[in-house]
Amino acid sequence: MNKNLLPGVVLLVIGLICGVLLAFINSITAPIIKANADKIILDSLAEVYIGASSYNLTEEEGTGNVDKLFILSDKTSGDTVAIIYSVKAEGYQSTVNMLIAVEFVNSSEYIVKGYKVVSQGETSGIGDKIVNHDFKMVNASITNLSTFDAVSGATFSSGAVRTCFESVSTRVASDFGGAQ
Amino acid sequence: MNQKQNFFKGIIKENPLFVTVLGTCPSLAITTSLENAIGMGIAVFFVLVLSNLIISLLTVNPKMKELVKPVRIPVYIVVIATLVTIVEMVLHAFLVDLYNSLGVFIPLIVVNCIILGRAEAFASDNKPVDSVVDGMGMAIGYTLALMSISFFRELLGRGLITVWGEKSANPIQLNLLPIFEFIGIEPINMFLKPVGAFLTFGFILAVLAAIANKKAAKMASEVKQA
Amino acid sequence: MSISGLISLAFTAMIIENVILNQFLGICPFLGVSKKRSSAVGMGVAVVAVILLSGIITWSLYRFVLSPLKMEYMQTIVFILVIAALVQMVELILKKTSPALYKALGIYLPLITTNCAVLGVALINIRKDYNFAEMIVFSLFIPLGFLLVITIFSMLREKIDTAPVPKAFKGTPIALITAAILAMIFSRFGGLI
Repeated sequence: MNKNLLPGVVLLVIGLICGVLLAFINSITAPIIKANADKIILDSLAEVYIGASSYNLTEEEGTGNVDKLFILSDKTSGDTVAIIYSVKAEGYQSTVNMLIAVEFVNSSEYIVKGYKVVSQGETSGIGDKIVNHDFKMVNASITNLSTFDAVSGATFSSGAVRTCFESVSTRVASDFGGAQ
Repeated sequence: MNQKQNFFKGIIKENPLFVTVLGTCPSLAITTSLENAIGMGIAVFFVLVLSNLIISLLTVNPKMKELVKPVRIPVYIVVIATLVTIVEMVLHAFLVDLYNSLGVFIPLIVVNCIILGRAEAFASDNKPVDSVVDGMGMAIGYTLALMSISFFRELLGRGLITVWGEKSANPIQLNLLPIFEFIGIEPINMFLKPVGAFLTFGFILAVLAAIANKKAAKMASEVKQA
Repeated sequence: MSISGLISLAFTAMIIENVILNQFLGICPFLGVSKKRSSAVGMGVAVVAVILLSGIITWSLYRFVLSPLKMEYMQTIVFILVIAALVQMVELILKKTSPALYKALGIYLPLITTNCAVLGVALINIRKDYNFAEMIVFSLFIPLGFLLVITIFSMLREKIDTAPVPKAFKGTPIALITAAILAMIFSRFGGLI
């Protein structure tokens, strides 16, 4: 073999050994890392859906206003129990981000179990009231927004929250249908 | 040089941080708490001892040493980067809080000059056992240096030092807040900011330089008298 | 990201979260090569070129090779090898094409491999999940901030050299304390955004 090539071969061999070693250790640690990350997400989801951490979690990318879907399924039967949507909508001067948890009742009824405004940059004292406001949507059907109670004086910010609910309601049936 | 001297030179005479001023980036960035400093120290210890061992094993055979010579720097880098990635993955899996607070400075151990420096200056010319002892001494010296910087920063900046688990029921704590209250001042938040990092490091180096100067002066006068 | 978002990212990267004074990357060359202004500027320019190039290459490698292959765990090794190879290549190309520039920057190039700002920027690009435009802006303005601060700092150090500094503070200690005052000044720019 060419003498000049030999050092290169040594480097290559060492590189390969290192690569294999890393792949092996990665295969051990990756599931633990994933479980830890899931647990943090589940803990934060528990704020909008009580008992979220007792289900299996799968994540799906959304489309349009819906950023992400957190699908909770029963650990034994595998049935989809609830979907928590991470949704956004434009408010008065910022983007409002929300989590909305929807539970399956039957194939034509889906109930809102909880929601939370996770981030917003609306006018302080007016639009930012949406964070703690009760929009009267808990236990309401997601497809029926008649109970929706806007924050008085904060039309645009409330409108963003309403848009979030509407974005969820248009796709909820197909999401549950598709998941089951 | 015997094994004891070999070990202790890394802690005092050739302390990597305070004497040769190597590996300064993490020493300023992660010394906001004693806990971080210890975590970083352990990570560096693991990487430095093992990289010294592996590199001295690779070069212990003169034939092998000659063979590796043209590509030795890439070989060192690959070995070190592998060890660092292992540390990163293990921390990410088992000590998530520490992983998050050390952040990008865990993978950056790769370019910590101490490790490449010891590989080139010591491990490649010495026996495996000596190299491991050298690595241990250097890593412990580095850890102690990190701990002393973070000790002052956390104490002055937060008023209390917590080790192992702010969340646990009875963490080990050194609480100076009552003293701060007695004097009537708040903890000096500035010490947790970048400013405090530079200031603390600068003053520690100055104090060490003052001690060294005094020793040198004393020795000089002794020589004169003799 | 909108244009205004990119501008504020550029400003943040260069001034507010300055790579040296706020993120503590690249401290070794900051202390080591800042004794003379000419060498500080040379180092700074070389760092700008290497960080921008390595940023683009590592980001593309991660996006189009490592990530599709699910080999994200190899990123540290791959990145540092890319940086080391890139520095060697830049050195060779400069030597061949522009001997004058090579003479000015050449001696700083080998030092750049172990400059943690280079690997740091490559890793942060991935950790923050930057898109192409954000990555370019970040990889350009971070080293520009490095160039700015190391230039200012070298001018300060040239003056300090002639000042009556207490004996114990001579050299690195007074340099660190000067850096502390600079860091204090730069942190106040945070109020602008």
